[in-house]
This record gives sequence, structure tokens and C-alpha cells, in this order.
Amino acid sequence: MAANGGTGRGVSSQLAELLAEGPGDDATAEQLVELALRSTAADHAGLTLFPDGRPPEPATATDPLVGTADQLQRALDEGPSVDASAFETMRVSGDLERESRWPHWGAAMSKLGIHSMLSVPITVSDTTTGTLNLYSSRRSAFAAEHVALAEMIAEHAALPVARLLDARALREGLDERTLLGHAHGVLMQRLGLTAPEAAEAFDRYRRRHRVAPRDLAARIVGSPTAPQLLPAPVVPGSHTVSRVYSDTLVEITGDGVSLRVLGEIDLSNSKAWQRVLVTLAARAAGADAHLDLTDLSFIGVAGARELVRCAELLSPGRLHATIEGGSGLRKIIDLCGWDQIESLVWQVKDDAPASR
Amino acid sequence: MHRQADSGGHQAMMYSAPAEFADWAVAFLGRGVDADAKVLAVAGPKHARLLQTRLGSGSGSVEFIDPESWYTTPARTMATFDLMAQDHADLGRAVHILGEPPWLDRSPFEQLGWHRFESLLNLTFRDRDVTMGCAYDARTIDPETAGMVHRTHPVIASGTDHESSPGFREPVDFFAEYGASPLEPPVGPVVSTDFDIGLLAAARQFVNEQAGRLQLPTAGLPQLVVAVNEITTNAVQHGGGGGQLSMWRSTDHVVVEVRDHGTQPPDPLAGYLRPDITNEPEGGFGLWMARQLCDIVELRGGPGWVVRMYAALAEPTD
Repeated sequence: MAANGGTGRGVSSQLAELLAEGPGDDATAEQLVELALRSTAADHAGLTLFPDGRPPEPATATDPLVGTADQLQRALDEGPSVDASAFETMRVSGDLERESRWPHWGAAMSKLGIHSMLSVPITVSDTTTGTLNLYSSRRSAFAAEHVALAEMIAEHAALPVARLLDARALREGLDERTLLGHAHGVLMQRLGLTAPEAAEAFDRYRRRHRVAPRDLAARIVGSPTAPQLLPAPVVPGSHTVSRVYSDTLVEITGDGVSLRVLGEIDLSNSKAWQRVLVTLAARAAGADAHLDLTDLSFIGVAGARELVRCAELLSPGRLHATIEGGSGLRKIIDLCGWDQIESLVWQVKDDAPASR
Repeated sequence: MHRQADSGGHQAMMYSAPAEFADWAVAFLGRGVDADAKVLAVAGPKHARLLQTRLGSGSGSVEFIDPESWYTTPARTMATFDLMAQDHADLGRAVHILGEPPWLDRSPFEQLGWHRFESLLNLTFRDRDVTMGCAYDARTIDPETAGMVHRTHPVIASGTDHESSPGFREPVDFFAEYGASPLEPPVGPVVSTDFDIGLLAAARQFVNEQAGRLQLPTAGLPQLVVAVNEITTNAVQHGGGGGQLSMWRSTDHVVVEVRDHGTQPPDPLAGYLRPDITNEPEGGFGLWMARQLCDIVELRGGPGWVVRMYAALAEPTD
């Protein structure tokens, strides 16, 4: 109780809100993506970042399908956003099923029900820093007017994209002391604190939530999606078991199309969970995917919904989920009426019945 | 003030003698059978036998259900009603239900929950071909309960006549006037903790530990933890980023209260009717889930949301 000084509960909850909302840059990028969706013929829209010297990275999307499109490009090593250096003008396709520039990616997208795409570069002084990508389920969906609108929106995206790239570089490149300094600075500026108050608020939050100083600083300075999803190896036929994602609540391991989940899924890691599942769906396009959920000790409705969405990205019978009898997940699925979803196959580990 | 009230509607029968009940019930069920509706009689064993005798061969078209297994909790019974009405509406078939409430001897607090349920049925039945007749024994119910029955049923049957109920209140008005009784102050010691997005897991752990200490049967614990998680998640997403979680033990229940930091008071009817599951999560979704998973859920404004979830200390009998 002695620690409850001038920077007590009020600041702590403001900091929590700040972390929940993100530092604001993502919101602007999100607004632009939403604008692109509303103002063109697109059904799905997203931004892809081109971090200097690194593979393209999805940043903001209206829905998981955009992430799937990006993952498929990486997995197949072809598509409009694979090579940043070659990307200087906009690219448009009105029939992805018969797209000769990216035949495999185009075919995979058409299987997902996407037949048109429009991708425009975002540039800062002649360097392509990202792309704005629009997708539609209709053929020949994008006309000249849509291209003009998308290019206009892409111009406005240059600054938010630069900020997102800066935040990533900060998070990954800076040494811990510098990163902590930046985080304290952000707290002072955004919450109106003095330097000692910012340090105290930072430490109290860190102890209470049991997060590493570096991770908390990265969350304050950078985008709210940290910690990052570690890319799993994409070697065909490889069965290397590796860590796909982990945070303080959950550890997800696997070999690409077969994952094991240990721990808890709730709102705090639901974005990462969504990315893991979309990646799984992208890798398993046309094949079976397996999820071992026997050590999933907790999942809420939002997490269960992502699981159902992942199943719906795949063909019927393709997603196999192994659970314990009487699992809470099964109860949620039953209550929500998701037990009728054909693409999701339940395997119950013990003899307890899984029916309602 | 006579009206034909048997094609859709929600009527109460206040009977004073077994014969009066039987005359009304046989006529009520018979009209459902004649209309080729799905006909249910949720009646206790004594009345069920009486009706089977009186209906004779006609009783084969009536499905008899034990009231204790039908009237489980208001929210779960509502979900059952809703699904059944929808299923038969999809088949183009009317539904005719006779119900004998078994909850009249429960605590006043639980009874209020069931009166709200009776009021909400009027919304569930709107635009659907469902007819519900609720039988109350006028000799045993107190005047206060009788008053509530008049407020929640638009039609009162007596003998074989129907009269519209002058005391009837639309559900919204009923909730405003009678549904939002002040919450009882907690009894005994209260334990509390704050939560935000980073502390949702800690909040679940808190519920796990405290429920054990308060001697909640372990069978009820997983459901309570999911319910609390949905309500605390709601608070983080829609209620100002977090709130306070408190727990205590009442006579019959372990009580979990979530007060969020929001400024918008709730719609008192929120979370009773099954939401569209395919939509993005809204405030009412987590609440619907909590209502399904808990024995009682109370919702108030104060100034954001105050949600109380009750898990029974006694093991369920079924």
C-alpha cells in the first residue's frame, strides 16, 4: 500500500488502456484499410510491410483472409508482394484462377473464393515500404476508378507505414536500455508523467503482470501485436517440431500443419492465436491440419470462434482437433451451435462422450 | 373483453380446483392437436396422469415432460424455448405448450428471475406461432405472486373463457418497474481483485482459488470460470478496459460480481435471447453465454455494467 503514490491506479489503468489500444499508429493504418474497403469494390483489404532486408510482413487487415493471402505468397514463393524491389507500379488481376504471373498463388486464392486482386505500392522517396492489397470474390472487380482511389489511399499510407516500420525496427534492433528509455518517454508524453513517475508506473505494471521489461517496453513503443509470431520452417516434407508461438500463457509447437497447444487462450493472446490458425490454414490448403488441444487448459468464446473460422478456411473434414472428454472448449462449441461445422473433425482422447 | 387467444399468445390459468384445471387443459391441448401443432404438456406426475386419462387416445399426440427437467434455469429454459420455436417455425408447424411452473416454492430471489422469464416469453413468441398456457394454483399462490402473473401474461384464462389482463406490462416496462430490484448487499466476507487485459488469466486463477475456498462443488467450476472470463473480457473490450472482480458466499450460491469501468448502463434485457452467433462479438454475446452457464445472472447499471453470476452450492439433481 506504500507503493500507492501519485502514480497509482489511475495511471496503471491508463497504461493498460494504452496497451490494449496500441500506440495509435496502427489505428491510422487500420482506418486507411477500412477506407479502402468501403470506397472500392473490395471484400477484403490489408497492408503488407516491407521491412528493410526482411521478408514482407502483414500489418493490418480487415479479416484473416488477407493474412492467408500473404502466408500463401510466402509458402509458394510467388505472388504480387513477394519481391519488394520489383514492385514499383500497381498490379491488378481480374481472374486469379488463370493468372499467368503467379499461377500457383492465383489458383490457391481462387480456391478460397477470391477471383480479383488489386495491389498498389506504398513508397517513401522512391523506396517501396509496403503494399495496399485489395481482394474481391467477383471476377474483374477492379476498374480504373478503383485503382485511382487505391493509389490515393496508398499515398496517405506512407506515413503510418513508416511509423510501423520504425516501431518494428526499434523493438528488434535497439538494446534494452535504449528501449526502456523510449518506453519511459512514451509514458511521460502520453500519460503526462514525470520521469520518476513513468519509471515507477512501468515497474509496477511489469511486476504485477509478470512481463519481461523488454517485452513491456516493446509493447509500449511498438505495435500492440508483440510478441511476434515466430515463422515456422516452410521446408516441404520437413517434420521439424519447433516453437510456433509462445507468451506467458501459452506455448504452441508444431511442424507447420500439425500443432500442439499447451496453456491458455484468452483476449490477451487472441490476435496471435488468430495468426497461428490462419498460418495453419494457409499451410494446409488442400491437405489435412491437426491441432492437439489436449493440453489446452482454457479457451474463451473468442478463441473458439477463431478455431471455427480456421476450419471454415479449409475443405470439409480437413481440420482435426484432439481434445479431452468433457473439455470446456467442447461445451462452448456445443452451446454456440458450432458442432455442426463440417470442416472440423473432433477426436476425443478418452471415452467420455463429446455429444451434447 | 373476450378474445380468441389460442393462436399465438401467452395465457395464464389460475385454477381453484382440479376439475377446473383439467377442463381448461384438455381444451387447450385439444386445440393444439386439432391444429396439428407440436403439443407439449410440462406437467407434474399427478396432473399428467389426469390429463392422459381425460385425453384418452388423443394423449398420444401430446408429449409429456417433467417440469423439473424443463424449468432448469430461466436462461436455459428460454434457450430451449427459442430453439424449439425456431425448429418448428422452419417446418411451418405451430407449437402449443402447457406449462406448470415448479418454481413457486423457491426463494423470492429465484422467483423474481422466473417472473422475468415469463415476461420475456412475450418477446420470444412475437412473430412466431407459439401458444403457451401457464397453470397456476390460485389456492396456493400469494397475492404478490398473483400480481406478477397478471403483469407477465397478456391473457388470463378462467374456466374456458379468456380475458386480456388489465395488469399486463410490456416486457421493457416490466423490467423497468419490477425487474431491477436493488441488489442485496453481500453477506459475509468479500474478496476482490482488479483486472484488465493483462490480468484476465489472473482473474480466472482468482475464481478457481476462491471458488474452492468457498466450497463450490468442483463440477460447477469450469462453467463458472468460462462465464467469468466472458464477462471480464466484455469489460476489457466494452467497459472501459477493465474493472473489479468480487466473490462471496450466500446461503445457496457462490457469487461472482464484475463491475466494469464503463459509463454506459446495460439494456436490462441483454443476453436473454440467443444472439446471432456468426456475428462479431457484441456486449450481449458474453452475457448470453454467462446466462447459459450460471444458475442465476443479475445485471444492473452502476454506472457501467454490474454483472452478478451465481453458481449453486448444491450439486444439480439431474
